Amino acid sequence: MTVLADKNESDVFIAGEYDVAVIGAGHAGCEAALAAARLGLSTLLLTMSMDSVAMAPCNPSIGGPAKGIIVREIDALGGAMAEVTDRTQIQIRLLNTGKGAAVQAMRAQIDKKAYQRDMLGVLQRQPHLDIKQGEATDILTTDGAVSGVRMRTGAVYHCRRLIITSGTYMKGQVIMGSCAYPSGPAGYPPAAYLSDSLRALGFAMGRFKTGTPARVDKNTLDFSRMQEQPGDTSGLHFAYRDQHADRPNISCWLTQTNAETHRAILDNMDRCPLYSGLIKGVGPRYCPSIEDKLRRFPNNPHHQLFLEPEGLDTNEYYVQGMSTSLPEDVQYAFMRTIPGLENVKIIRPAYAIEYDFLYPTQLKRTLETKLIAGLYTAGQINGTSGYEEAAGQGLLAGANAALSLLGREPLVLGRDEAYLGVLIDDLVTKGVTEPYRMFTSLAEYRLLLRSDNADARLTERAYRLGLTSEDAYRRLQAKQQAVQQEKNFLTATAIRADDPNLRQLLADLAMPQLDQGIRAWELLRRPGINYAALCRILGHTPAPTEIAEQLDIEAKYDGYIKKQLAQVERAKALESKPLPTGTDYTAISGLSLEARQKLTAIQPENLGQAGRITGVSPADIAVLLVWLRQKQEQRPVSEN
Amino acid sequence: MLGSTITAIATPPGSGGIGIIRISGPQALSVLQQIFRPGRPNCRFTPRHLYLGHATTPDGEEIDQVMAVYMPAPHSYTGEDVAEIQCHGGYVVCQEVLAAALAAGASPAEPGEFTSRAFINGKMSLDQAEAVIDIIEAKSSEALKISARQLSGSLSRDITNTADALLDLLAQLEVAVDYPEETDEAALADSTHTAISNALDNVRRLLAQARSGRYYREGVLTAIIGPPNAGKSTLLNALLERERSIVTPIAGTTRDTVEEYYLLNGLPLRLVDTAGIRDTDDPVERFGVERSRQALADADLILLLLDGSRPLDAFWRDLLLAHRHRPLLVILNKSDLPVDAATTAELAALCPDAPLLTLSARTGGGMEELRRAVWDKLLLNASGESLSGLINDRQKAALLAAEDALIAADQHFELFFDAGLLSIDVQTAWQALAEISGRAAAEDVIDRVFQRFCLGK
Repeated sequence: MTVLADKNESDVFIAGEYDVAVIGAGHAGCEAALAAARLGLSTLLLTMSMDSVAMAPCNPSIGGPAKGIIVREIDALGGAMAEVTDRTQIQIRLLNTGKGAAVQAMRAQIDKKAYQRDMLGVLQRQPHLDIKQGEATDILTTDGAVSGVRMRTGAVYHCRRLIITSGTYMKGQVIMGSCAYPSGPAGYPPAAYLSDSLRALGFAMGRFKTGTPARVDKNTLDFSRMQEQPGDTSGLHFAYRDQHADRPNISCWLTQTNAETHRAILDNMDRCPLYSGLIKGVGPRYCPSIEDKLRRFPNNPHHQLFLEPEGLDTNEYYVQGMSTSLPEDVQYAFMRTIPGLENVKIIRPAYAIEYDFLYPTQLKRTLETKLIAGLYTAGQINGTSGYEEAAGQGLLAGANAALSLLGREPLVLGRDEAYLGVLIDDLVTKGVTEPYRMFTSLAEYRLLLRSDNADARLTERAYRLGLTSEDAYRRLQAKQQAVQQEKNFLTATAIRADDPNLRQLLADLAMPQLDQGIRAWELLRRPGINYAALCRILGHTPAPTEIAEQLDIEAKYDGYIKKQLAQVERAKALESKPLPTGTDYTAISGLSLEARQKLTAIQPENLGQAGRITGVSPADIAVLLVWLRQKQEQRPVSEN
Repeated sequence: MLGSTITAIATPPGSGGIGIIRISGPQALSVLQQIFRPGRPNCRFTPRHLYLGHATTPDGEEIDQVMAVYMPAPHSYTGEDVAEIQCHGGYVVCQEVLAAALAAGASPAEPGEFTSRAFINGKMSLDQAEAVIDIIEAKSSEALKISARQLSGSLSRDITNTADALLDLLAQLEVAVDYPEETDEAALADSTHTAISNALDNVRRLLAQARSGRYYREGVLTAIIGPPNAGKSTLLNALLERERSIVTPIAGTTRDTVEEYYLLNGLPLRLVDTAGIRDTDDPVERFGVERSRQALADADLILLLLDGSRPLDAFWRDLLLAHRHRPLLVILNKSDLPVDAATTAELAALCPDAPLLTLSARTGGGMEELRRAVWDKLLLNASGESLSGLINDRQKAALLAAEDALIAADQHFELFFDAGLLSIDVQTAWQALAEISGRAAAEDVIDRVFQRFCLGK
């Protein structure tokens, strides 16, 4: 009689051979597979379910501060996230419009199901790319390098590069109140074996926690008691290629908690698994559950929440800001105290999920693991949070896996080139102690890393590598030419001090009149004067928005951009000092104890990276500088 | 610890009372044992005890009677095992002991290597290392005191406090960048503006100290000018006769400008006698005149010595007019003849800001007044407020960079408030300050510090 096994150990067979295999078809996996396939390599994308490809199991939005800039970087690098978002968004806004250019970013609400369908179509149209359903359980290696992946059913795929983008699936455990059970997100099964395989290979694994709020029935919401948050109607889009998609504009709704809500939560804190000890994983600080917010900010009388549509053809609304792991009856009790939610019915209750991740300091800056050649990881497995962070890492892991097979230079982005450069440098250098989310302040050169210029920063490089189309490159060139032409025109155009249009404009802006004429470009440099106003007084037909935006930014921020570039140059001096690999830093007694341990463990590639390791101080870097210098002065044995 | 054992002569080249050969590294004791034969047998080299004996070649050939000391790690200058041999100070003796140390397995030290090892081994911070050079190069005991103060970290503390305030400010600006909708911009702009003004004040105060610091460290370049026979040489000689504490001829000066050091109550004056400054047609002399003019142009202080009994001629009148806004003291040398009242009146009219001093180079009368006048002219703080550290060129350049950035930040408020942009200037200012004390690392800083070291330190 045959004994049935949970995992097939006998019916093993070779099911296929690929250059690159990707485990997991979430946001990271999709971009990874697309990038490898675009570079012409035979690519396999494995997903536990064809129904969960490109799923957005948490909020129904893409972008936001810093994250929105990542989406544009993904587009500039030839990725799909921006275009798919543009085609499936049901509301889009530009955030921080009143603030400086560096902090502006877009956010779109997406129709989740439409997003998944659209991305699946992109994957299926991509040449060299196969998609298969199944659970990967084992990483196969030969002589310390990746050679394949085995599925739970026994199928083996040989591959030369393997990218793991397992999201929150590895040993996933959903927790709600006192109830906990093995599960992936949104009711999908967890990946029960894959992280054991990583452990067996010698990787240090950790456990993180994240959560998602309830989805509620639109028909039970009273929007009249909430504040409407409409979208922008000016035709914003993430992708630099405007698809002129005619999209609906569905509002979100704002309301807030009150003392009664807080009492309902605090009275039931003993039933919260986070505090009872059921949840062991470390959760994110910045996206805290509502019970966390009450503990941390006990004096806030209110907390905001947004009701966001999950799609066009569903009644489900996402309750942004109400993530919780409290049991369902408590969720009902506190939600019904909130204005507009008095009669709310929950469709999917909120839950917390714990999962295995891999400490990202075990990665190189290409996202290849230091331990196993040819093995890459991207997304939540690296301890990050967020669709955008995942997609960006996936793209770079896929591109680097492919580039290494093609024998070409890897694509490693600097901190001065992209938020993705900051993200990956932070991960592999500093590691993570909680799920990593991208913030504007994490980028020290943020004035260079704007939403408007991701194409100028990255498209040419992506084009040269074969990651993006010639079309995209030509479009960038045309844009830059147009900007230059318009700038030339403004520089050449003088406006007389007594020009009535100018006088009117200055009067309207409550600015002093000029006593002599001025070049249009110089006028544009003044605070308060923008390109559109300038065109009006010149009677000049304005260039398209994306050109106008460049002119406004260049005129206003030129001085600061130059200063930031000077800072970059200064930092480059340290980046260009390579540190020998395999150094035992414990012998350098001038270094702090923590620095000695961290440097030995992380083995930074250069002094700049070394300086960003948590616990390595500038004084330590100075010591390393002098130490390096002395190492280089290998003096010959004396003869005198 | 760095693998090799290094050695060098730690005392200045040339003849002196004693010469010290320093050996640092894991083999220091072994090297010492090979080249030092103690007076008493079975010497165990108790740490930091002096032993009398003989330096020898590794083959046992005697070189000199010497004292030796062994300082095991980490309680030594470099933080490594260190041995020092004190021999007689002749050039040949020192070279022979050094050769013996090299033959015993040590390798020659690079300039500054002892100090850089001390730095790598955590024995001193960057600005402390820098202070070591300043101490070596100190031209006066006052400079020495200030450098010693810097070695103990007081400059670091002053700068660190200002840098820390900027870092706090940066943190607040970052929060505003991440959460613009939750930021009270008006309040933040206010507190930011105050913090920047305070930092700017501090930086400017340190810059003012930088000037005084340079005077103490390098000496005040003092040009003594005046017509022939007004008594310049007498003044010079009188000064040097009275205090011969430091008299160092400076290499590279030619005979036409004689440079001497004179210590005026701890303040080193670099006296340049510009004898040749006069219109001349003599091509040979013209070269000297050029040098004198250059010295005059560079001078921190000009002492114009006149014969009070004679009227001013056109040449000196023009020269006075040209330099009357510079730190200038007019000294009337008291000759036997009475002072010409018309001359005094003309001088007072020509340069009302220049104090008129009388001096008797012969008797030495009037020196105290001269000292006070010099103090006042150089805007030195005579009240004795302690300078927190000599500020050298590197530190001064960094302070100037910080000042520029803070001025830009300060002006920012006239236009609008943008936390993201402001943080760029604040970051630049912080970086510059942090580099002074080594709290931000930059390679050129390390270069500038360690390149100033000479061999044996």
